Amino acid sequence: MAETRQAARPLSPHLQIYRFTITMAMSIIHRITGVGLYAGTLLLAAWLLSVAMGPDAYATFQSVAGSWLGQLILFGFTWALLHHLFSGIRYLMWDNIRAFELRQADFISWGAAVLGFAATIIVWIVAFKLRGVL
Amino acid sequence: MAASASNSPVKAATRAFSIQRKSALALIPLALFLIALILALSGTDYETARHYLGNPIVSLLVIVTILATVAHMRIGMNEVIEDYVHGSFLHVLAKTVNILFCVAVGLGSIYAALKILIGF
Repeated sequence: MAETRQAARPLSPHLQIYRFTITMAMSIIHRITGVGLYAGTLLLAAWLLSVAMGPDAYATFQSVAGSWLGQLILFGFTWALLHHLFSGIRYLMWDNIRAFELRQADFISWGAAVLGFAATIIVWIVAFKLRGVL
Repeated sequence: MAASASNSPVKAATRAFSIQRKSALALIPLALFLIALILALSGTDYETARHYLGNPIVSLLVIVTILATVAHMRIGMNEVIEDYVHGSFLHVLAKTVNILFCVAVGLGSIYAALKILIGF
């Protein structure tokens, strides 16, 4: 009764097979924000270069950064940076075997997500206050 | 012998692991410093921006932030490439472009920071 045809090799299960967990979501978001920040370093370089080049270049940078699209990108950049920062602290904790229990791991993951978002809102409230908009 | 041992893939991976964590630790305060700096200078005129960025301590912190950032992001992107970019040619190309991008961003930013500081 031996099988005459070779069965297809089994594939290991991929993402869609697993139940959603906050640690899994945060892992994916950590990587996405990391890649976003990678591209975002061009903004930092452009900002510094515009100041180095002189008033005209700086004025151009400011008008682009101050446009609604520029502000949207800068908001996204702020969130990506702060999210990645708080999310990254979890990895440093886990490296040192802190918050390693399942419930603790879930707790600091939700915590990092909330802190990253809250800190972004605070930074932008301060930014608008400094500019006298709020 | 020592040189070839330190260039082995295992040693390189251990080194990347270590640099990634040390740069992460350094970037916790440095990223917050950068946000505070950008906040302080958002919407200010050219002279103010140049004055702040021309301060030696601010300049030093900016340059250290850039160095830590570039080291951190090169390793991070390398990991992403190792996970998703297969095929020997594309793999090597992606890793090379990654290094070139990080060097370009690093050099461009540090050149700007030094130009503001020294004014050459």
